[in-house]
Amino acid sequence: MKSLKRYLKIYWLSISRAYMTDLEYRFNFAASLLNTLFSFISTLIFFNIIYLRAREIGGWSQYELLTLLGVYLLIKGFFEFTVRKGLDRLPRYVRRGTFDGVLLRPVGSLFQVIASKLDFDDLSQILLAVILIAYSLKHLNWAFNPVYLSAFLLMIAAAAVILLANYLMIMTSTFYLTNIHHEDIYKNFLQMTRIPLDIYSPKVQFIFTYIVPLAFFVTLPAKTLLGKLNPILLVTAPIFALLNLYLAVKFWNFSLRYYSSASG
Amino acid sequence: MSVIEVANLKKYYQVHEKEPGLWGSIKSLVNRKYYDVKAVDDISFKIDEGELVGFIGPNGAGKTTTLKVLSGLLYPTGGSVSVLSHNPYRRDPEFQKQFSLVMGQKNQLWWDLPPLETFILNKEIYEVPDDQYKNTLEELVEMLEVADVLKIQVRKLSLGQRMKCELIAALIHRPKILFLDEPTIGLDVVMQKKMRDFIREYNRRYKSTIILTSHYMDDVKELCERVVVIDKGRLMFDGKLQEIIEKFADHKRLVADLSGTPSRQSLSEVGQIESFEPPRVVVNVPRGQVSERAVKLLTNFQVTDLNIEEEPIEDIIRRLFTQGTAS
Repeated sequence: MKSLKRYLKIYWLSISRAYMTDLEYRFNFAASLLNTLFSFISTLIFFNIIYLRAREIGGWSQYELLTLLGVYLLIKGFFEFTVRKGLDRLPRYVRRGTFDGVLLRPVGSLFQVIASKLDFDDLSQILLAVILIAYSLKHLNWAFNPVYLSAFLLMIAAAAVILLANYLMIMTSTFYLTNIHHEDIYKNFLQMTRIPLDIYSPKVQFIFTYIVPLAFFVTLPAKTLLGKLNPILLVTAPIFALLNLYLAVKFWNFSLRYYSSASG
Repeated sequence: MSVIEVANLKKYYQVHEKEPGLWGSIKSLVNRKYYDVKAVDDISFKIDEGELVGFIGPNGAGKTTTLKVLSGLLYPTGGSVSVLSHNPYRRDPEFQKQFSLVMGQKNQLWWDLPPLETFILNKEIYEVPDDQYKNTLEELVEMLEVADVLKIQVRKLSLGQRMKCELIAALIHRPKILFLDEPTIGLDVVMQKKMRDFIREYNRRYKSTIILTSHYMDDVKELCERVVVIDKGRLMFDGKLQEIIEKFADHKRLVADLSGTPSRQSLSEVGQIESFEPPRVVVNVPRGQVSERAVKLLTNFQVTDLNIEEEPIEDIIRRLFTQGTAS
């Protein structure tokens, strides 16, 4: 309990410092907000154009798909807000040798990296996502159902953990390959999840669920919300998430050995 | 009681060669020739509590690598290391709270924020109690005379002020052991002196154990009774600074003022001429023959002033490094 309190305090101090730093240079907040809004609107237009021609895609109606898009934005926004910006700093830390400082301090190294940055710009994504989900559900005449909602929150939590674990594994490879294009890998993979994975054949679906776990990020949480989920996944998803996290943290700790600080 | 024990420490890096040009790059993708660089090669020493030890050696000698192994940043290739009875590489938080590593070329202060913000964060990270934090900060600020810069952004500070604040950030948890890697690098002479005074005072006041590496002989000469000389990963000398002179100095310098017009040729019969700018001349003579050579100088020239000096320690060490004569 005491150590949790300590970690929360360090997290707060570290994040607030990162934000103070941002404020030093801040006049691009408006620009970043506009950017989010534009990409949101263009995606929205794209999906609506598809439904001019088709009434259903892979069993998903227009507003169901907009719900999916909302869930996509929610997960993405949440992940980018909390974890990603911190992890993205890792390659720079390693190249410059500042990671030395992280390893010297008596607090977990992974925690320090994640706590090094929180980007409040990404809150706008979360806000847009919630609006879009609410709007779509209203059109679907979605009746409030506490079971679906709590199942949805569970699946979202599992999705967040799986995303964290997978991204962490990509970033950990920084210790071996100093220049990975993690940005591109992340974008390409995450963009695939904007499409309901039901459109693929069962074999491909299996691959995208348990090998490259894309389905967990968006399709499955969205299905939960819409009451279409196979209940067994409510059990397997958290287990799968914890397994992923365990492996990712193991890989991280193992890789620290390979870190040889720059300028020996 | 020794707080640091290093036995047969080895740290090798694997590197690969690449021939120049694009073709070389492609070739090295397919077929890499690896070889070991011996950054530290079989070094042993012990350091007692409260000692202030200087590590000297040229660039790439292995000083920084040794410090990194001692602080748990690098995993040793061989040998054993024990610091405060801990194995540094375990990076046990209880161990990490008891030492600090300060590198003159890297900073841990938040660049865009005032130094005070880093101190506050470090207070939490190192779990320093409130009153202890207050006292330590007050004392350090007073010793280093930086009261007026604590609330100014780090990037606006001078190098000297920044380095002082780096030290405070590293000392706020009162580490028992302090590793200082080139703490005076890039500082002007006045600031170097202030740094040295602080390090000496800190060591005296808190009985902390300090290892200091430096390019500047003056740092080591002024601060450290004991020096460890490292070159190419090997330990060349470990002992009192004075002993380096006794052990390695092979000549003394005759510094003389000569009147009249001394001839260079006849002076060279006295010994090897180091400088010849009459009236002042400097002649190096073998240690064993100092008196005969001095007499020769006094009889053959009109000497108005004569001094017999030890070879400067910088010269001895430079010779050690260039000749590589290990003890």
